[in-house]
Amino acid sequence: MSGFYSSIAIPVLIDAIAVLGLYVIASSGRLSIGHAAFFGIGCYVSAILSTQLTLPFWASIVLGAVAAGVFGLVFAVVAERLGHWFFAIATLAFSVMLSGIVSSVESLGGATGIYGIPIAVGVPAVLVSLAAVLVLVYWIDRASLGRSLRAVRDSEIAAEAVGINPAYAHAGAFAIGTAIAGLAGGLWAHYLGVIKPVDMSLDRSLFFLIYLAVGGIEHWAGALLGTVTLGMLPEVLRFSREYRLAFFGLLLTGFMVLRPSGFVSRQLINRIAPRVGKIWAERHA
Amino acid sequence: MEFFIQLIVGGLSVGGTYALVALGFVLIFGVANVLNIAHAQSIMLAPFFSFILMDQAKLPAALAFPLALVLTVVIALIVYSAAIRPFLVAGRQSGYLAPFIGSFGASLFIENILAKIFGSSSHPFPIEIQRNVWRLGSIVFVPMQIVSMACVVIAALVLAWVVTRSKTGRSMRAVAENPIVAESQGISARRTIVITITIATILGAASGILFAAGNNELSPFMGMEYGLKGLVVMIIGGVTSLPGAVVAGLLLGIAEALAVGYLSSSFSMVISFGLLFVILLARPTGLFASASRESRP
Repeated sequence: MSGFYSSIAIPVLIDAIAVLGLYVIASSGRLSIGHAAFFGIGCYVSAILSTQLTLPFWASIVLGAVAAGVFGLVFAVVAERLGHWFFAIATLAFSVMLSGIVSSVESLGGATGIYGIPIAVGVPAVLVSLAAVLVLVYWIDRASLGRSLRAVRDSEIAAEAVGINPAYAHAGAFAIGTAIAGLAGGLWAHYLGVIKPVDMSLDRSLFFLIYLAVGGIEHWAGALLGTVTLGMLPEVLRFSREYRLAFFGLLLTGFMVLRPSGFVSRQLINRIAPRVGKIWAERHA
Repeated sequence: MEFFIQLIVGGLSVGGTYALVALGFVLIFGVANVLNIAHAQSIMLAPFFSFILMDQAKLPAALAFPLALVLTVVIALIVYSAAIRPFLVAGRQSGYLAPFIGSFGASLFIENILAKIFGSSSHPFPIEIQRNVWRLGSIVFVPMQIVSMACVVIAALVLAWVVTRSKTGRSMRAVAENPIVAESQGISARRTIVITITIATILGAASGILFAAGNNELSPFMGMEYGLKGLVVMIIGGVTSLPGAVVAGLLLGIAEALAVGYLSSSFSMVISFGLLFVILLARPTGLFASASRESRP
């Protein structure tokens, strides 16, 4: 892939990884408006491990993801008692607080961030990570874990009645989702070589949320499709970046009114999947 | 000690304005049972409309402010019918995500269109404020603080009268309690929600004008900034409690003023969200949660 295309593709694919994490969280019925905070934890932890302890890049990225997941787990356990709306506002509060703290702590680089991170992530590393995350998310969806997450999302009381603990489901989904965000953050830090507190800003969290909500909140394909199309759109159409958020806002409202579960809904998958299976079977008969 | 009292006075005047923002959120959430994020933009739209009317159309302030309020209410009702009403038609429980994200989209749209038209930097607010100060003993009052406090007290008293004494208030409380039963008693839930949004928007718009005049600046992003604080206040105050929102607003104003006075001005946002975090952990339903509503909306 030439430099121009990879410079567009890599940020979009890294975003796609983070949005897949947000999808896992959403499949348990929780909403995070502070997903970029955990992306940022992945960025900073992996960057510090790479620059201060000179660990190999893959080790620090993995440890960054683990750190984000641990933060996520603690957050989810502490905030479990909150209702859905308040949980969402609490994630927002957490991310605003964290970026405020990070930008005022000198040893974390303050507002200028961390420089000189070894640039080690290219297209192959991003694709391998994306594939690994996709396999994980696909497996979660298929496994009993995914079924219990969706059960908790649809009705906590009914889920409890069949022996699923909603608290475990919420915390598990949030820990996995934030660890995936941390992985994306680590990749981002080692792709760019520079990280700043802006990397965990509210804007980034909003983009993650918009990508997922427009793409489809009920299926992993929605997360992927939403991120890739909306992420590429400004580059392809070459409309000015200033209009991007206004346009996305309009798109978001329109989608919520006309297709409340986003472009890729369960219905769509259920309609398409049998046909694809039939064509596949005919081809390989 | 004088410094401390001075900070408390400043905190009370800012906190009262936070309370107005939060009251709007509480009213809409209580009656329509949706978290209308786009309400935050009324804080920004009202001063922008007044800015346009006074700076471009050269209207006097006495005419510009009411006109700006009307325009803001019109926009808020358009946003309501585009992004919120479609979800109310299907029934009260159409999932909490869709109206939340839908109003969020409307909010982003308004904010960024204004940022495109007027630029994303802040403008001075075109109103002459007396800069001379009043003294009470050794404590200094800025005229704007007095105006702001007076507006907040009047608004809170009028709102309290409307909600508890008037017929409109009774129908608002009825719809908040149970829209189906309310409709069976001849109350139009939809009309009540429109009235509620109008009242909430007027409160938000008034607070926006007070913010803009007080800080003498105007920015397309001020809606989100103060709206988030209003949400924080709403949650600290117990989400559906009107007195709770007022108390929590004053509390947040004082906490911020003390943090800025004794620590540093960059702590304002960290303090408000830190306070929210601590209070949510200690009391997940807020300080003044009412017992009639389910504790986990």
